[in-house]
Amino acid sequence: MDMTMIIAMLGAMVAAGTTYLLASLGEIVSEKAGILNLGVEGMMLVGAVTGYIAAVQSHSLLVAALVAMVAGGLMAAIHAVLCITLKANQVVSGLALTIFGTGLSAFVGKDYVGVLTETLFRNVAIPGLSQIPVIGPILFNQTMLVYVSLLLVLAIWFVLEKTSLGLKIRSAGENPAATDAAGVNVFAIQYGCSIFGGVLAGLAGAFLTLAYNNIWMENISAGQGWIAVALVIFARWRPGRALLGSYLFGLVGILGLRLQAVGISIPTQLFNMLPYLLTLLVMIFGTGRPGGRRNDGAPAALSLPYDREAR
Amino acid sequence: MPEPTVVLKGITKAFPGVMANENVDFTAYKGEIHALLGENGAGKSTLMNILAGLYRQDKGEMIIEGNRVEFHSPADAIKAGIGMIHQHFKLVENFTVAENVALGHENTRFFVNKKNIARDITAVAEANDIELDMSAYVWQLSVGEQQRVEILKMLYRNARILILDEPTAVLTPQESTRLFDTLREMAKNGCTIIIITHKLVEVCDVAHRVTVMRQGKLSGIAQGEEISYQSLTGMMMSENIRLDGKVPAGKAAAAVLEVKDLFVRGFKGVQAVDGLSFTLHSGEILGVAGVAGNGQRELAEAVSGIRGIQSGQVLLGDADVTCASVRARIDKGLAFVPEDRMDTGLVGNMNLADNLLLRSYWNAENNTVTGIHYARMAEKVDQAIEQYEIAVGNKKAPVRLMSGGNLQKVVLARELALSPSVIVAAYPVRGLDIGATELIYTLLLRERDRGAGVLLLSEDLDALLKYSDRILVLYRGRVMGIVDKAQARIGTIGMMMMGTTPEEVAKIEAVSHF
Amino acid sequence: MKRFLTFEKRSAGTSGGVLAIRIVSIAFAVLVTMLLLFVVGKSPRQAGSILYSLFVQPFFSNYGVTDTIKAGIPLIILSIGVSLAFKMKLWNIGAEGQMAAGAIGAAGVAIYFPNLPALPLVLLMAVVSIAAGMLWGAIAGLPKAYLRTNETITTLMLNYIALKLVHALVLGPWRDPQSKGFPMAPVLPAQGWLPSWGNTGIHLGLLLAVILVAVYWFVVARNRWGYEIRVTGESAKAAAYAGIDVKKNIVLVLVVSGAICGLAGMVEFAGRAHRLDVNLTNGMGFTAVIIAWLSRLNPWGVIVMSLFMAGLNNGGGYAQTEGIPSAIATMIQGILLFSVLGFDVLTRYKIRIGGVLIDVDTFRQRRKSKALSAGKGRE
Repeated sequence: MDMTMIIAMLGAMVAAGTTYLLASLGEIVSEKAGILNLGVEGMMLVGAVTGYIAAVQSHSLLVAALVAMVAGGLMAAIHAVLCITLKANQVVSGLALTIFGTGLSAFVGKDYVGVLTETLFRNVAIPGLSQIPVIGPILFNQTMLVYVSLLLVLAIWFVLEKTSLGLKIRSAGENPAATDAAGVNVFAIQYGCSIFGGVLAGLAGAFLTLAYNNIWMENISAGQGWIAVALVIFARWRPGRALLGSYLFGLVGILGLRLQAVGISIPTQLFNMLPYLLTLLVMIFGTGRPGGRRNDGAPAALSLPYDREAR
Repeated sequence: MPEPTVVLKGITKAFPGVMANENVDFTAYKGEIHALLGENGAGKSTLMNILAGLYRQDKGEMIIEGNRVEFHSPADAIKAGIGMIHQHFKLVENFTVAENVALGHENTRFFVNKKNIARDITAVAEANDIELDMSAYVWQLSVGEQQRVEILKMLYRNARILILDEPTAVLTPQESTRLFDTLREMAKNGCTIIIITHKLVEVCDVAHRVTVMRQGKLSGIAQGEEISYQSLTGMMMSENIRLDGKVPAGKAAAAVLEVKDLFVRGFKGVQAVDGLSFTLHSGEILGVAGVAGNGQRELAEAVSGIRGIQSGQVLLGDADVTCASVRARIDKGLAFVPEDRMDTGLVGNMNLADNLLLRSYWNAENNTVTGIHYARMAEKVDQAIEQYEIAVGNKKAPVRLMSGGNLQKVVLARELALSPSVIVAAYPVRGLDIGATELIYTLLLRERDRGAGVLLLSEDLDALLKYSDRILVLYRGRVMGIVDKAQARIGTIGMMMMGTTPEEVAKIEAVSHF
Repeated sequence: MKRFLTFEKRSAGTSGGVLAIRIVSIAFAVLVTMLLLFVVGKSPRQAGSILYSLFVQPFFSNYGVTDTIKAGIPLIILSIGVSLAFKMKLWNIGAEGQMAAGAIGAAGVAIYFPNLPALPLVLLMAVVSIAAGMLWGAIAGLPKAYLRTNETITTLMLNYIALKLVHALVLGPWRDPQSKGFPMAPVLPAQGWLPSWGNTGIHLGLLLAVILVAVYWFVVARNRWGYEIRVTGESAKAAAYAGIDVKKNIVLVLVVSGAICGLAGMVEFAGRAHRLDVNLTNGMGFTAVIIAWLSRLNPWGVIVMSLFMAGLNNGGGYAQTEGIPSAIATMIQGILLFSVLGFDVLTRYKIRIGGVLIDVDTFRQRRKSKALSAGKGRE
């Protein structure tokens, strides 16, 4: 393989990884506030189909992206009502959300399977930056959504670590009772973060249909939402590591395909298993401490419903 | 007359099955330390949780600094200048001190500048003589330090009314002294300090005014000179019945429990039990006195096998059980009434039969080929209900629905059923009413007279002096001394609890008698 | 002003109350579904036929019931495995992977020992599938017990690993040469098929499932080990006080839970699918998590909920043959779950909306007293 091939492949890696990145950034924010949402796959699918339909109908990318985000946010709002207000089990609700989203997206999108649109996110080379050797063509000759995702990594990291809002979000996920006692509206924070997670999952869906696959078909995400959930753990709930992890997972996917194409006989699926295996090993050996404090970055109150008057 | 800062009128609050507050009035003034006194379950915490905006009263009104207020959340209370420090600290363990203090504070700008915040907080801390490392994580701090973080949090929010729920329950005597110094300083600066407590000694020591509650109702107010041990006891206890009357001494015989050079680590690796030795005999009650947090819990847990030890030896009769399992110790005749009735001593969501099984479910007699012998358990349940006068609605219902006294009876019914030779009883009457309290002590005395040795941990010195044959004073995980009932006086024990050796006590007393 | 919506913990949930809430929630979901179908422009006739496919055909027609039972078998077994772990508050959401691991084990036996006689073949498949499930459970259980690694996360990862492994195997070394390039392993030799009842396709797995339910009931309600599991699940402190070895039980419970789910993989493989492919598990492990939770770990509830979910799944297929996209069925399942989940709050809390108190048991009592006073005549 020569340099241009490698650069092309790394560019493809960034594109492939951006779906994961958008979705896992959203899930990080939701989980940081204590709300585990296993329904990323469902939210992503609904975002994917609504975004695509909006693009076909409105011919506007902005409208398409907004519609996908609103749709994803509404999906997450169902989860929020069930888990925050009605204190339902978050694992079960998330699974239900995936089932619902899979059905809803297929139903809504059945007339759009095979319909093509020209309203797509095209690669936009950033003047100057795209001229940087190696990095330029890999990172700065991509679609708008890739740039958005990169900005989001920075923005989310900044908000979580450097602002009072981030302090509130993190403490809601660590100890909602303490957060409440400090005068922070835990429910508002959790609702907001949960819905924000859905918004990004919806955007990830729109990326799939309008920037990556450029088409809608049933179940187009094919498990990528689940990978995003795994990535959050792999990244130990940090946006920067989510970026690295997303590209790593993206690269593994791309490499699998390439290797298959070149006829190298490592089964692709075995290769695709690596990210999960790595996450598992990181979880077991990287964070476990017999009897001591754990340091896996998981919010302490993740998936535990908060009940102020519990006695 | 200073101005009243807190006026509560006719506060009523009911929880499922409990009337926590019934038409309670309460007034506190600027610049005073006000003790809210009452037994466990008297409704003190509920009242203060309402004042702090955590609960909402069903009826009644609140007037803070002259304004009628309605709180919908703790945030509202904080805005009104009220800060509450709960018994279980409301701190985020994975946050630093500075982050915890800044969290939710309206002066914390959107863009957090850690340096500026740390500087501001340090200034507040220094003004109030509070020593803390701003960048330390809360999980790294001692309990006393965590409490200081809570106080600092409230001060940083300009709290003018500070409520502390049982603030000394988890502190060492030194930490308590230090806390009270801080509180006096704050009161002098114009704060209203409200301390929820059931410890009379503390109240007499530090409070300017006392409000006493009993069974959800207001039972008396005292201030200044009126604050005395006697007057307050009268208000606290139901019918002014103190546990009077002499208890016949036990007949101590052979040693049933020997603890030699015991070392045990406690929470966060603290040296909780630090080279402790004693012998408990058949037919005696050995009382253990000490300020909470001086190794009582760890001692009880180590003896019963629940907590591992570092070194030392534990003998049950002739058998060395230093390394024996919990189960082996039970089978060798060790009973344990744990401090924490509901989560350790009993399983709240299980019924009576399952709870009576908890410490003998492996016994052959409780099992048949078809599993646990629930038919026999049903008989045992009936027996226990009759013998211990346990009040139950539905025998199959989860025990968490029962009252505290009945719960403790269930624990004792289970622990005494195996005719133990040693009974470790940790705070067995905590939070119980007088009737249940007396029943529990009667049962322990009966067991003593049967020939069991009883290790009785208690925070009530009067009860210890009354029921124990000897009193062991625990201080920082060590034995300060063991005093015979005949020689024991409350003052002596109190001084030993603060770390004075018996020899020094003798000297002091000799001097004061001349 | 009072808070508009407040929750009070309920004392005890009666089983009658829970059942009533479940029925109300299903009725609510049906109502919402009708509304939705109306909004998207389905005629009442179409709506009726969709509901008929979903709720009537699978449960009240001969072929429907047969299909429902067949589909319910693996779900029952999986849900029992999941319930056991949940009983100890171990959130094993790895049933999917454990089932896949079991199926891999069984398929491996079939591929490498195709000529074994019926009984040894079936037994060996069972043993290997159980071992594979145990392994998957142990990978989550050991770190949980000794390093306190979160089991939800490890079991989730192990799902993907097992599924990718299935995919790799059926694409690679185990691909059936006669499959015309489809990624699937060869068909299980006929002597290895679990015997079935007439031509219904209901196989021996049903018996196994029922036995497992009974054993689960016995273990949890009557057995010493089950007692330990219950105590530990309720309170780790009480477990230590009772001298229970919590760590050992964490490993044991996750291993046994994995073993049961692994066996489900073999049952589905040898009983219904008869060949390994990527769709063998088909999300059943996740469905089992939902079932276990909705049935509140009650063994009889597991049977009812498993058959209900199986029927609902099949109903989607029936709807499709009627020309209605199966997507609608999936969507309705989602709505149904939301509704059941949402209403479930009533089993745990009394709710006050505005001034109105909603409490199931008061409803029931009121109904009872109404019936009583009606009998006595009005005051």
